[in-house]
Parts: sequence; structure tokens; C-alpha cells
Amino acid sequence: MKIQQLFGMGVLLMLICEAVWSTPLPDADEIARRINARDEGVAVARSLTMRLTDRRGKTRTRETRAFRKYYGKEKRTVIFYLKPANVRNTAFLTWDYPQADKDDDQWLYLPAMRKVRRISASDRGDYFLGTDLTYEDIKLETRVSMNDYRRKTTGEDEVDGHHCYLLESIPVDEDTARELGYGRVEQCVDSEIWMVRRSRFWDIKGKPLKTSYFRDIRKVQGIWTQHRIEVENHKSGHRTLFLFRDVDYEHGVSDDLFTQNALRRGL
Amino acid sequence: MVSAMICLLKMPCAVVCSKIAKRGGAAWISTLAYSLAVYAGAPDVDQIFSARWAAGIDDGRSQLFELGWRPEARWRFNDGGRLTGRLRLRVQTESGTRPGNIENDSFAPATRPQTIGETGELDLRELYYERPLDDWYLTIGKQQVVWGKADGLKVLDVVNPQSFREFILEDFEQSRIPLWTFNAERSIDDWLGGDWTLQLLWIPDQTYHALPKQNATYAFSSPRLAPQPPPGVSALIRSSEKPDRLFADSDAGMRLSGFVSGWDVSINYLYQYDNRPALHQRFISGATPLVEITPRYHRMHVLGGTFSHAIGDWVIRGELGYFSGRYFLSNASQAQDGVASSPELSVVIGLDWSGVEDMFISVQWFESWLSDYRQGFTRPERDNSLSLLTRRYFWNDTLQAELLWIANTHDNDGLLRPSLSYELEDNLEVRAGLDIFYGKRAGLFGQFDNNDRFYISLRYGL
Amino acid sequence: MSEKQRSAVAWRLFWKITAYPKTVITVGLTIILVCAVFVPTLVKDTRSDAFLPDDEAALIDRDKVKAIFGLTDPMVVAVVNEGPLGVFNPHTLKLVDWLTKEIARLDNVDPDRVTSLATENNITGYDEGMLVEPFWETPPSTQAEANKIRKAVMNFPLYVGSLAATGGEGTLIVAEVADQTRAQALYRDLLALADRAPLMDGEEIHVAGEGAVSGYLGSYIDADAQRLNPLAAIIISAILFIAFRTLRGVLLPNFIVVATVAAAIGLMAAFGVRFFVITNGLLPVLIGIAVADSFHIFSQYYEEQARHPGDSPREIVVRTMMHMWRPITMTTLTTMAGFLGLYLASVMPPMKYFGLFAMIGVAAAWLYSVTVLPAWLSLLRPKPSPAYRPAVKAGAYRRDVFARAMTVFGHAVLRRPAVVLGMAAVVGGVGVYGALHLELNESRIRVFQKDESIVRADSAINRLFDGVHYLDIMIETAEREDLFKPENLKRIEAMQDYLETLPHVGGSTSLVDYLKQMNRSLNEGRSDAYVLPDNKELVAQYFLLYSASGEPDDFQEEVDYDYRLANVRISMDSGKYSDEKAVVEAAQQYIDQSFNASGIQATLSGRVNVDYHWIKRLGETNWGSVGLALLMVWLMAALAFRSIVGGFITVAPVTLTVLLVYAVMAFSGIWLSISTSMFAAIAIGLGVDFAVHTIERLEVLLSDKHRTLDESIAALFPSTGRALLFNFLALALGFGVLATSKVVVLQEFGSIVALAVTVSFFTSLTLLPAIVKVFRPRFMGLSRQVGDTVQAASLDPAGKESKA
Repeated sequence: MKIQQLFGMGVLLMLICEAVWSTPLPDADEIARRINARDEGVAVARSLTMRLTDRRGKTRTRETRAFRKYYGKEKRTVIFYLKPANVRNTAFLTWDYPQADKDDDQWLYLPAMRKVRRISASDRGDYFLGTDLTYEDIKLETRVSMNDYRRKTTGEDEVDGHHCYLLESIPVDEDTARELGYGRVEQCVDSEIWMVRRSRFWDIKGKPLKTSYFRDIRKVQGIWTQHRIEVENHKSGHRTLFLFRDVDYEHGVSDDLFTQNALRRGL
Repeated sequence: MVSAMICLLKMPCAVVCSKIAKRGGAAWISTLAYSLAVYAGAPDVDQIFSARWAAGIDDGRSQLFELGWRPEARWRFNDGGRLTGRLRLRVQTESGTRPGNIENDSFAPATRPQTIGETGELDLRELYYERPLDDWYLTIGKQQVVWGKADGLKVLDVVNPQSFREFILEDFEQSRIPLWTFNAERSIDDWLGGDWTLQLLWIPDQTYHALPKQNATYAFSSPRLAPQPPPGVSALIRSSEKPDRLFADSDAGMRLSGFVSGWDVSINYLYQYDNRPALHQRFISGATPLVEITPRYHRMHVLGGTFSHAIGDWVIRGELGYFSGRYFLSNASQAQDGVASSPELSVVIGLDWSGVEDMFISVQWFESWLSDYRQGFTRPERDNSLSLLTRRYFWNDTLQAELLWIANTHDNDGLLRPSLSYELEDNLEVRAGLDIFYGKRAGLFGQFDNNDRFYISLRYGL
Repeated sequence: MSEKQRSAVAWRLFWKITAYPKTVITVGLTIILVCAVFVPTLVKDTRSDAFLPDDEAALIDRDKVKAIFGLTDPMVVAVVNEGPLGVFNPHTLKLVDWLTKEIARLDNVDPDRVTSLATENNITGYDEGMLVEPFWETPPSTQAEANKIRKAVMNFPLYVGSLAATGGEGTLIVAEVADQTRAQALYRDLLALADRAPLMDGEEIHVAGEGAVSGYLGSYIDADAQRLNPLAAIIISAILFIAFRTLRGVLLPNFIVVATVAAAIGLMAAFGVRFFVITNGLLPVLIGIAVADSFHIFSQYYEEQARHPGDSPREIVVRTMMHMWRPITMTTLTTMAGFLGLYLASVMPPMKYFGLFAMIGVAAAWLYSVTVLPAWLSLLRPKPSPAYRPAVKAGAYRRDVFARAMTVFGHAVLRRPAVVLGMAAVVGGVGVYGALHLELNESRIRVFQKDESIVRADSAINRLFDGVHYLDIMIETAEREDLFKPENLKRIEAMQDYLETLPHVGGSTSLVDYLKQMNRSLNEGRSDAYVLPDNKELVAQYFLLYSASGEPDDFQEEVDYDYRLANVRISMDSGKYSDEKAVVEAAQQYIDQSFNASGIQATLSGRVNVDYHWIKRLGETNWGSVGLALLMVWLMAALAFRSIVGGFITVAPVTLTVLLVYAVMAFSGIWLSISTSMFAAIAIGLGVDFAVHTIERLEVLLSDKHRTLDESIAALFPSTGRALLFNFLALALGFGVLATSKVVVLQEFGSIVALAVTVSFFTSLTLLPAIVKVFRPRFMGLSRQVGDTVQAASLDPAGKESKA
């Protein structure tokens, strides 16, 4: 038996011991903090294919290229639609400020109008351009919102063979719940890499709303990256699949991309 | 022998070259496309096929039938440059809306669409090269430059002229006429506490609004827009006296747009020929009196600004434009040639609300004021319009229901446009709707009271 | 085929040619003779209609009107008396009567188609009907009678402005020409008649009108060209002599000129192509081109003699040709390409044929230069030119003053290539600006100098009368006698009312005017009765009444026999295209929108309409033809140098030339007109030679790797540069002679082409070396790296230090 294998056994043993003995589950806020502390890279560029399937199995596909960059704590995101031809050049830009009381600034470029339109930011519970993800979901990416929910750790589970903690979040008040469109959220957080692998949502009335799976998580340039998001809306039967490709944390994210001019010019 | 040689030389060359000379534009485009394929590699190509049919509600007659093909190609170069070309081929078969019913004198030769027979029209919609150059971003070629924040009603969106083939019913994207433009933009960061962009425009293209001819379905008849000869006097419409000096008659403009503490603002200036011709009239007396109408174009300064801001569920936006001298029809006896000029001040304030999921409601208040209003103008000193837009999305945005209502409060006329559009397939959109004009005949909208229509359209992208 | 193989073939070819020199010369002479036989059969065609293709719609419409109403481009004779009584005095009216009769007697004038106060009828009414009678049976003998005539004429609005000046200062005699092709002779006859006329003090006779202008135009230009073309040939010969200072250096090139002209003009005659007015310009172009090849061959020939004084004539000639066949062939091909562009893009037959026969001439010049010329030279004993003396060193020759001047010039260019490029850019910018400001316009009267009698006649007539530039409008109704219908007559009247408000329209004439006059006559001459009768029967009766005392064909110029077709003649006082355009377009718009209806249609016709159409066409096609000529030259040059870049560099000097030509035209107010529209194409054809010779020689010089870039370029100037200098001088002075012409068009032609040649010469010898020096084009065997590495090596101190 080689030294490394011995060492590995040792670690495994320690983990099992921890799992068995540390009966008190980690604090929910601590988990949330760990999720948010994860390295996401300062900037990322990626291609995103959105596949939307309705109850009857009819599918629509949109190809986009998306960019995100942190400016300190401020985060800017831009998504350019490439296909199909009908929606080509549609682009969406968000400037997300760290201050809780400051609304995001959002702009939408519609090629049919040839104008960059300011859109109000508070529709964060609205579904993002026909998908089953809300504007808030899109904006948060792999993170969780600290101020909108009260949360607790409710147990452990396994998703796609990975151990995770179950995190239950309840909106802080009814207004927030209405704004977000969720009455309760249960997330399954990978205990190793601190990424959400599954989310279940209930609506304000407590009825099951949708379930999301975050899959094909692998390291890209040293950063854990999800490559597949599957969402099923239980109420409408509509499903959304996000597929990420060509993820790049290192190159090609110019500051100029996050401007109204860039929206207008397109990719 | 020699004559045989001459003939041999003559035949094919003459045919080819006369074609080149006649279809100069097409030849250049294909040469360009070929050399681009060689130097820049294969382009990204998209194309949209469309079909549209509209029928008059009042008379039940077919008003418009249009088939369209709109290919678009983009070439990327290694230096960061990009060339975009868009073509539009359309066939319009109904007699009131065919290309022949629209005046095309108002186009500069290099901008004019090529008509094909009675019903076809091939238009190089856009062809521009763009690339960053130091701190500048240059866009050179035939393009659309859109200014302003208003929907449906235009104040500052006057850089490009427009086709009024279907009055204002056609999508602005299609009705706007792209111009050969030199467009340079430059970022100015951290100035006055915000990020700014300076845009400079130079437009050596003498193309103006394309207006429907007298026999067109959407020909103007309101006294606001069309001279009204007295009974028994016929009108002779001369072709327009269009500026045609490439440099001296070019338009130039600038825009400074910025984002300052949550507000999108811009200051705009344009020195241009008003895209709307002034209809100068000359009365010819005699046994059979006649009014000769000559459209002429006049220079003016346009100064304006825009803003938009989001607060909670609301977006407030506005636009202000001052036009130093526009020509309006006037039937005052002292008005020379039946037209008189006045500066015009136009304002639009809009409020958008999206407080309910999948719902969008927007109202706009539009006011235009003539500062040098004189007796006899056929439009009022203050003109006021309101618009209401409500839109709702269903089924994950695949179905969209919309109602647009534009009302002129001065003439109490207006336009109602309910529509439904559905994404049948990924690439296939069907749309159906009504366009209903109401109000008195003299009004801007009322003049088309008989043109109420039902339409259905298909759009297929590849 | 490799370069070496090609040289071998060329060597064998020239060796063959010089083996049978006499045969070659005999064949060459025979061909010239055969071509020359056809020259006398050449037909001249100076009509302005010749500029339009025969199937042009405007021409067909015009001919239709001519056939129905007998209206042509008439001769107009004006009798002017600016005294207090005007023409209405016994003497002047007698003169009018006499002139009218004399003119009717002239050959080529239809005696029934002469219109004047002496032939036209006055319409008056009386109780029982209408009286139609001439203004006089015999010319008045007293002033009182003359005054009565004045009153009658002035009471007849139809004649005021058209037949009599509004103030009575003049009257017209209008004669329709039977055969337009013989208008030239008729014009001469009319002038002779005017000379014979017994004139009183204050009386003047002017002969004008479109018929006169087109008649005079041909003889005027011909006469001047015949005077100046030989002068150009003499000047070119003189320059040949200065360049080579030998007899053969003057005579042989002239022989080639004869061959070229004979081939081009002879073939023109053989193919039945007519000699148009602008074909006059072809001759100097052919002379210039023919001589250009000779300049280069002779330069090389004397250079070879000076370098190798002992060699046999045949060796010298073959070696000369080995050097020169390539550049000469290239210039021939590029020049032909330029003219091919003109040929293909022109719609007007004269210009098409100009391009075609210029091509044939260029080809002939080349053929004789590479066959007959070497054959002839090989027969002659080598005799050194005083301009090329052998130097002490073998294989070299002493440079004369021109060669030395060119050397100095070359050094200046090499020192400041950036300045040269900058200047070229400025010239290009100014040229583009100018080209955009060029005005399309034409006025035939402008061809003549201001003091010509025809110009004075034209201005006098247009000042006093409605004008002699006619726009005809043919009215066509559905059924016979439809023109009696008041609604149709009202339509015609309304159209005349409108058109008369347009600028430069003096007046109009139609049967409406006669009907109004008849109506007035029958209503006691009341001026408020000068209106159309308002029912069909009345109109028919008026014509019936008229025929009771008038001639049956009095209205044949206004209406046809069936009263179904009518003609409205609009008189304009300006023959300028820009003025005609405004009126024609307004009339067409009126016809489309307000006139045409079911049962009545109008069609524009007449000289003004024909002019409008073809000059408009000229404006539309001009840029296409220049563009095509440049494209063809580029293509040919790119093929010849096997390089796309090479094509562009060759085209650069001519492009600059064309732009500058346009700029000069725009700034000096020369219109883009029939004649000037060809300047650019000719400038391209003549100018491209300079560029091709320069580039070809640079290519050869640069292939010698023993010299530096600067040395190679500098070597261009004393040899090819000198030959080009004389080529340029010959062309510039040859065409410059035309600038002394009496014909304004020829003046412009001469000076502009001289300028173009000058610009081509200077840009070819400055811009091209500068481009080669700065951009180091790869097709010339230059690589951009060579210079850089050389520089890098010399500037690399590290290398030296490491060694130290």
C-alpha cells in the first residue's frame, strides 16, 4: 500500500468520523456564506444554449453568449442572443450593486426597435425571457441571496451521487416572497465544493412550483463550473435546459461589453 | 474576318458590360462579397422570410400582400473590424401599396432601392464596416442611427428618414430608411460623475422621407399634410427639388449620452435638411386654374435631449426636441407659396409600469408647440397626443397580446392597434391584429378612417 | 512559357523580320494603300441626331411629329430694325416680303413651308362670317399702311412673340429644312442671301435656329480641325527632331502615323461608319499614340548604337526590339483596354466608334512599330544620333542635356518621396471634390465663339422673340374630329397656360390659339372674346368658315387632316440643357398627372426633348464609362505585370489625371457635355503609357541586384525618363495647338488633353518611383524585409560590441 493511498484512507476516515460525530449540521448562514465565498472568477465568458420545452413536448432553442464581471462588489452581466434569427441581437445588461437599497440598473436592447430600453429592476420574480428561471435566478448565478431569506439547515441528501446539505429558505416577509415569487426554497448544497446541486421551489401558497438541477459540474481553469441547469416547472409543465459551453474565466471579457453601446452594436 | 472578330468581341462583352453598367450596384455587391469571402472567410448568415396580408375592414378588399426575404451577413476581420450587410427583397402585389405607389425621387441615387418590375423591390438595407480605433469606435457605411426614447411617436428619431408607405403602421425597423453615414463614437469616462459617450455623425446622403403618391392607399389627405386646392382647381405635383451636393448638402450631428447616478441622459444636436418636404405651391390662373406643388427641402437645426430612469416598478422617460425652422402648410394669404415656417418644440414624457408579472403598461404624453404660430397654419399651435400601450405575455412568452392606442386630443382622432402574436415554432412567428383609425377626416389619423384593416403575418427565420 | 523561352521566341521573330525587310515593308505599304482606298468613301455626319442611337424613343417620337406636321429644326431668319418704327415701315416690310420669296426659292427649302408676315393670314370677322386674308397682298408703300399692319399683327396674340417681336423691333421668317443632312449648304445660301439683301440704316438680318446651328457646326469644326491637325503633326515632327536630330528619327515615326491613321480611318470607311463631329478628335489622338511607340524604339535604338558602335544594323535593331517589344506591347494593350472601356460603356454611336477605332489605330501603330519599323531600320546604315554620343568607356554613352535634366529631376524625387505622396493625396482630394461639383450641361451655341454671327443672331432672336428652341407636344385623341370637343381643347389650353409660366418658355402655339383668335374675330374683336368656343359644333363651324377664305393647309403644322392629332409647339429662349431639363420634366409631369386621360394622350417631342434625353443619358453613363475604362486598364495591367497591386499602381497616375481633369473642368466652369465627356477616356488612353513604361523599366532595373534601390530608380530617369519627356512634349504641344482653335470645344479639348498628358507624365515619373521606394511592392521583386534587415544590421550596436 502506497503512502498516498494510506493518506487518502486517512482523510476518508476523518470525513466519515466527522459525518458521524458532528451531528449538529452546519449553520445555514454559514453554508450560505460558504456558497457566496466560492471563487467564481472575476470575469467569465461563456456560450449558453437555452432549450425550452412546453408541456406538449414542443421545444424552442436559443443560443446566446453571456459575460459577467465583478467590479469590486458590483457585478455586471450581459447576454447577447445569437440564434434564432428572430431574436438575434437582442441583448440584456444588468448592473447589480452591492448596496441592498440600491436597485439594479437594467437595459434591454430590442433589435426591432433599435433602441436600448431602460427596464425597471424590481420585476426580479418575473421569468427571464420565457425561461423558467427568474431574473433573480439569472442574476444570482450560483450564489444565494443573504438578505431576502431566513434559512436553516434541515438535513442531508445526495444528488447525482454527491453528498449535500439541505438548506431551507423562507423569504423574510410576505412582500419579499411576492416579489421573488417563492414561498419556500429548498436547496441541496454540495458539502465539498459548496455549490447548489438541486433547488426546489414552492409558490407563495405553498404549492410545488419548480425544481432545478445543476449538473455537469467540473473545474474550468481551476474554478468549479456548472455546465447544465435543468428546471422543471410543476405548475405549467414547462421545462428549461441551460447548457454552458466554452466557459472562459481568463480571456476576452472587455469592460466595453457591459455598456449600452455594446448592447447596440451586438456581438 | 475583321468584322467577325469585332462582332465576337462585341457580343458577350457588350452584354456583360451593359449589365454591369446598368446593374452597377448589384455587380459591386457581388464583387465585394466575393473578395470578402476570399479575405475574411465565410460570413455568418441569417435570413428572415416574411409574409403579410392585410384586408380593409370597411371595403373588405385586400389592402396589402407582401412577401419578403431579408438576408443578413457579417464578416469578421482579424483586426477587430466587422462588416455587416443586410438586403431586403420584397414583393408587394396590391396596387395601393406597391413600390410604384411610393415616391422614390426623395432617395439619393446611391440609396434608392432597385425596383424590379411593378411589384418587386430590392434594397441594400445596410452595409457598414465598424471597428474600434484607439479611443474611437467607427461605423462607416449605410446604417440606421436611432435617437430618442419615445415609442411609436418620433421626436428625436429624425436622423434617418422614413417610408410612409403604410403611414406609421409598418414596423419602424422596416420603414426607417438607412443612410450612408460616417459614425464615430468615443467613450468619455468619469466626466461630470458618470460615463459618457460622444457620437459624431456625418451623413453625406441626400435622402428624405419616402411619401406615398396620390394614388396610394395611404396617400395623405389631411389638410395638415396635403394642400387642399379650391374646388375646380386641379393640382400638379412636381418632382421634388432635392438637395444633391454631396458635401454641401450633407447632414451632421452629435450626441452626448451618459449614465449619471441612475439616469440615462443625452444631449443631441443635428444640422439637417428636414426630412419632410415643404410643399411650395404656385397658383396658375387661366381658363383652367391649376395649383403647382413643388416639394422643397429646408435646412434646420435640431437641438434636444432625452432621459430615462427606473424607480421601483416604474420607468420614466422623456424626450425634448427643438427644431429651428420647420415648414407647415398655411392658407393665410400672406403665406408665400402656401407654406410658412416656424420653430417647433416637441416634448414627450412616458411612464412604463411592469408591476405585474408578464404585464407591461406604458403611457406617453406628447406635445408639440409652434413658437412662431401664425394665422392660417393648417395645424394647431399646440398639438397634443396621448398613447397607451398594454402588453401581456402568456405561455412562457410564446404568446403576446398587445393593445396600442394613440389619440390626438386636438382633433379627437386616433388609432387603435390590438394584436396577438404567437411563436409557433422556434423560428416561426404568426401575428394577427387590427389597425383601426377613427376621427374626423381632417385629422392625422382620421384621414385614414376608411383604411381600417385586419392583418395576419408570418415571420420565419433561418 | 518561361521568360527565357519567350525571349528566345521574340529573338527569332525579330531576326526573321529583319531577314526579309523588303517583303515586310512592301506588305506594310500595301496594307496602307488598301486602307487608304476606302478613305474617300467616308461619309460625314454632323447632325446632332447622330449622337443618338437610331432606336432611341425620343428620336422616333420626333420623327413622327416631323412626318405628321412637317415640323423640323427650322432655319430662322430674323429681320431686326430697332428704330422707332420697328420693322413696321414700308422698307422693312418690303424686305421681309422679298426675303420670304427668295428663301422659298432656295434649294432644300420646302416653298410651302416658309412662314413669315408675308405668308401668314390675318383673321377678321364681319357680319356674314370670317375673313381670312394675308396681312398684305403687296408690301405696303406708305407708313399708314404699315401702321395698319402693325395693329393687325399686334391684335393677333398668336403671332406676337413668335412671328413678330413684342415691341415690333423684329420679325421672323421661318423655313423648314427639307433635308437636314444638307443644312450646312442651306445655311451658306442664307448667309449669301442676307449679304445680297438691300438694307436700310438700322436694319439687320440674322440667321439662326437649330437648323442653322447644326448646319454651321459641321463646317466650322471641320475647317478648324483641318487647319490645326497638320499643325499638330508639324510640331510633333519638330519635337522628334529635337529628340533624335536625324532624318530617320523624324520620317519613320511619321510613316507610322500615316499607317495608323490610314488603318483607323480606312476601316471606318470600309465598314460604313460615318465621320462624326467628334471623330475630328480621333486624329490627334491617333497621331499621339502612333508617335509614342517610335519615341521609345528610337531612344533605345540610338542608345544601343552609342553603346556598341561597331555592331551590324541588324544586330542593333534586334537588340533594340528585344528591349522594347515588351513595354510597347504592354502600353498598346493597356491603351486598347482603356478605349475598350469607352467603347463598351458609351451609348452614343459616335463615342462608341471613337473607342473602337482608337483601339484599331493603337493596334495598327503597334503592328507597324514592331514589324515595319525594325525592318526599315535594319536596311539603314547605323548613323549615330548627335543626341546619343558614345562615351569613352565601352558599353556606355554620353548623356545629352535632356537626359541630364531628367537625372536631376529623378534625384529630387528620390530625396523627398513622402512629399510626392502627400502632394498626390492632395491632388486626389481636390480632384474628387472637383469631380463631385462637375455640372452636366450642354448648349450647342456655346461651341462657337461669342463674336460669331450665329451667336449674335441667336442672342438677338432669343431676346426679341419667344425663342427658337422648340419643344413639341403631340396630342393624340381616339376618334377623328375629337379635337373639336371643347373638353379636349380646354385640356390643351390649360397645358399651354401652365407651361407658359415656366422659366425660359417664351410662348406656345397650337390650334387652340387659332380658335381663340377666330372666336374673337367673330365677336367684334373684343379682347374678352379671346376664349375657346364652348361647343363642338361651333368649333367645327369655325374651321369651315376659315376654309371658306383660307388655304386648306394653313393648319397643317398644328393639326392633322382628321382633327385627331394636334401639335403644340413650345418656344424656349434658351438651348441650355439645364433650362431645357426643367421645362421638359415639368411638361412630362403635367402630362402624366393632369393631361393624359382616356381618349387623349400627349407625347413630348421636338429638338428640346431629344436633347434632354440624350444629354441626360450622357450624364448617367459618363461615370460608368470612365469607371469601366479604368477597370479595363487595371485588369490589363494586372495581367501584364501578373500582379493585382501592379494593376493598381499602373492605374494610380491616370486616376489622378482623370480626377485633376475633372477638377480643372469644375473650377473653370467647363460643363460635362458631349465633347468633354470623352476627355477622361482619352486622358486614360494616352496617359497610361507613361505609367506602363515607367513600371516596366523599373521592374527591369530592379532585377539587377548589384544596385541599391535608389540607384536602380535613379537609372530610370536618363533613359526611359528622357524618352517619356519627349513623348510628353510631343503630345502636350501637339494637343496644345488645338487650344488655339476658334471652336470652343476644340480649345477645351486641346487644353484639357494637354493638361492630362502633362499630369500623367509628371505623376508617372514622381508618384510611381515614390511608391516603389516607400511601399516596396512585392511584384517588382522587392521584399519589405530586405530594407529592414539591412537597417537593423547597420543599427545593431550589440553585434559590434559582442565582437569587441
